[in-house]
Amino acid sequence: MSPERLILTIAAAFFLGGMVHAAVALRRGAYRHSWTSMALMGPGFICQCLFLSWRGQEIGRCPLTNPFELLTFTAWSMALFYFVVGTTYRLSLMGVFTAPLAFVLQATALTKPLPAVPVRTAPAFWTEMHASLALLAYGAFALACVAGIMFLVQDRLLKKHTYTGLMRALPPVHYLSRAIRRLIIAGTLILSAGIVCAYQMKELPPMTKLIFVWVIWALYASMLIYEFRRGMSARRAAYAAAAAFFLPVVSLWFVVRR
Amino acid sequence: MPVFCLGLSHASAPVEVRERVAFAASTVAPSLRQITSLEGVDEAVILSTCNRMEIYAASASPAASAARLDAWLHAHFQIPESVSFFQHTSHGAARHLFSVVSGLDSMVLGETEIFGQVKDAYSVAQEAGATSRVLNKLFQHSFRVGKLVRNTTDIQRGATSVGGAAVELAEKIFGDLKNSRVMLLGAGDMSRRCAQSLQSRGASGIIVSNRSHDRAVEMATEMGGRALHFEKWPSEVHAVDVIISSTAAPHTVIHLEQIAPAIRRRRGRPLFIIDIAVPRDVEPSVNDLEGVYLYDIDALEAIASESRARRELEIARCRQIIDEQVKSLPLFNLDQGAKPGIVGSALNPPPPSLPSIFTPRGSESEAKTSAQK
Repeated sequence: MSPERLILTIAAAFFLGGMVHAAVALRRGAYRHSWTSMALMGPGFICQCLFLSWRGQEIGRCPLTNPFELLTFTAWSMALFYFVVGTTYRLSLMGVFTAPLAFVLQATALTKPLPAVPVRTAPAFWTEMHASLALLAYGAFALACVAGIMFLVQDRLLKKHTYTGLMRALPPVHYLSRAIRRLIIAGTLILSAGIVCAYQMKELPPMTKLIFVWVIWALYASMLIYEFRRGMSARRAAYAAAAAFFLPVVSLWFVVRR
Repeated sequence: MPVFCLGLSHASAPVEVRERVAFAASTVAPSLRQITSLEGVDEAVILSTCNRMEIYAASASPAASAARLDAWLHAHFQIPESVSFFQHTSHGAARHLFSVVSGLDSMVLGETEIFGQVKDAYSVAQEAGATSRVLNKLFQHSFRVGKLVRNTTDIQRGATSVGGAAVELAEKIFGDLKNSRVMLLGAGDMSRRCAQSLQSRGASGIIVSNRSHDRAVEMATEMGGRALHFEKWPSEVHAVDVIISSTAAPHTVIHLEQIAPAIRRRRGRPLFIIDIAVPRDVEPSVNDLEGVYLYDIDALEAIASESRARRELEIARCRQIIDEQVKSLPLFNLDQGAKPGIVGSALNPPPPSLPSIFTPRGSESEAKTSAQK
């Protein structure tokens, strides 16, 4: 096994550990130590950073040249947002929901071949910026989806008066609704910058890909406009955030499949 | 040097007795001096709260010292001979202290206030020069055990009162209660206590609305809030986060059509409605509104009783930890110097596998000097 694969296998193992820990704790109704979840996500994230750094130096550009790297980069961006959002809003339990997604993406990446180092070409700055910003935005949308699902679960438990260990473990609904809004704002802004970069490229990306990105941007932007102008209820915002992530997933699948 | 403990608590004496056998804070230090001047009593700590009065002492001859202390207490408080005190000696006394510090012996199982009360009692005794090597080590060890029990079990987890349950739910809805505003509909005692629980966690901006406006003004002044004429409360719903309703109305007073317009103005901020009135004040369909969480008295009581039941289930784990800690009491021998057969036979604890101090609540009297009730 190559060192790159080894380090990412270790990352995937940590994410799997985070998933198992959280699932077992939630099942017992005793999820309390969010630091354990952070401690499992942390080494996984560091392993990904190491890989992306090595690979970037090897190929002399942002490592987004094949499905293996694309999936790893997406999983990395999710872990990055988890640490930013989780720490800021004390939503460490997001690890419960982030860990499985990061694990699935990382494990899927590992099933793909990692091509040998390609012949160095002059890095296309705008192309790399476009790709990396779009993937970062998808990471934000993924976490908005996670926060949306958490909100819907917590909302239902509170409405039905089901005072369980899961309810005690999940963050307050008000924090979650704020997190959803901020993640969508962050994702939309980052994706906007990514689209601007696309139009700076010497050669525009394929039209289907471009249309896809515009549709995704329009979907999230319209959610924000509706929210600012009419005031969307927290539950509807959560449903929208959870459902809308379907499009970035399809887009990613489309890119990886190619 | 052996230690012993002598006293009474909510489990062994009714309030009529407890109120007569309580040390005022100002009298503790002088009383400690008197107790340590009794023959054979070398060290002492007085723990006097509304639920218990216990004296922990170190003595080379615990049986005789306990008898002297018993007589001194009867004379000091001028209580009849029929009032009796439970006694624990040696490891039984340590086990009892550990369970008191851990909240296992409290009226509300696992409550945290007793930990601070024992700490205060020990500090007072220390400052009065009434403690030395034996009780210093025993009490310092008891604080470690208390923390261990509370940190490794669920004995203090969950709210055990309606007010506590309301606070827990409010925190699950809003997180931080610092910027939360509360409206009271009806000026009953229960709603006041519930609001005070929320205030203790930072809730502010109390609005009191009552059919008798004078009563609303009175309660608002007491709670540092403002009064509102009863017919105007719907106009303030959009600006508050928690509504506590406890009017004496025989019908519902909060309806869907009064809350729905306010929800639209809240722009996604949730609203928590606590209905503690019987008959209920709030139309149940209000709970169907998005962002509204309605809890009535039964729902809150169910949460509190579930927490109490969960704490009861934790007792066995706590007992196990305390037993292990009693067995491993290091550095000094609590039995050293005890005369077997005098105290030991009558007052010493049962075998570690079945310590009587941990028998179900209400049977605290490991070794009562006489029948109390």
